[in-house]
Amino acid sequence: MSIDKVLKQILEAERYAEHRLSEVTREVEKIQEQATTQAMDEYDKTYESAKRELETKVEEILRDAKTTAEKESERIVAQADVEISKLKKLAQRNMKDAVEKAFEAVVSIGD
Amino acid sequence: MEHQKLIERISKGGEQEAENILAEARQKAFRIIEEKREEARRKAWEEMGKAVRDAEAEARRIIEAASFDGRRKAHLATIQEKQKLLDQVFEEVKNKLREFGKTSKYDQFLQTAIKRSSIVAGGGELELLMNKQDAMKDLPLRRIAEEVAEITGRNTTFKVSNEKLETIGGVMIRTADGKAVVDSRLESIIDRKRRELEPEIARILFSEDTKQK
Repeated sequence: MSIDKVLKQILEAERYAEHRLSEVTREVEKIQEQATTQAMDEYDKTYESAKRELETKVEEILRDAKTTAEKESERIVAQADVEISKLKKLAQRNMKDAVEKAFEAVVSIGD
Repeated sequence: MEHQKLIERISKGGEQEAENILAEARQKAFRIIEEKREEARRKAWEEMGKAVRDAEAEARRIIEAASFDGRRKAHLATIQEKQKLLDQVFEEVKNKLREFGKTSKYDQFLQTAIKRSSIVAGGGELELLMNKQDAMKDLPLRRIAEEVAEITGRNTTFKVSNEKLETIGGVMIRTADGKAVVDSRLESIIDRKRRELEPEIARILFSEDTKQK
């Protein structure tokens, strides 16, 4: 093969490489452009999603608090019912003595 | 043949570089997207962090308020029940006093009540108001009047009023001029004594100690 032909082939190979690099450069620019657009979309989507998640968390916190509050209230009422029942039993047992004491105090005005 | 290898190297080298550049660009694109996602999460947390903290504070307030309100209602219910049971004691006392009114001890009580009330009224011309049964009793009013006069230093006379009281017992003394009234009806004595007696009656009524009466 003649030198001219070889040189010609080398030049062709170099031109092809340059052309390829030029193509790649365009492709890189496209990738960057797409990435920027996609990043903005992802930003909005992630922000909205995170915000919804947190709003749900806030709702859950308040809902749980209301449930806990109701249970606490019921517990206190039940405890009070037990106390009142105990008071009634004591009063039933001690009624006669209490009446006697009060009666004596009233009629003692005549002593 | 050597020149063929050179040409191949040039071609392959260009291709390899192109692939490297593309891979790097794709990695960079991936990083940009990831960074934006992270930035979005951070921003949402920053904005909502306060809302979450506020919600947690509100949750604590809701629970504390329910607990406080529950305790207040329970306390109120307990007090109301105690009051009801105390009312029951004093109702029972009235029933017992009705029975007492039928005994001879009651007559003695009534005479002492007339005497004491008359002294409080300051003696003098006094009107006795009683229930129908007591008004019909043959009470030693002359003797009582003398005892009152001795203590008050005023000549004392009694007149049983025609006005009859709806009372379980006891007496109301009214001076002739109507300016002073001494109320010794049993119900009035209970009402007056109740405030003073309630702590002791409550202590007895709600005592858990069977011996402590």
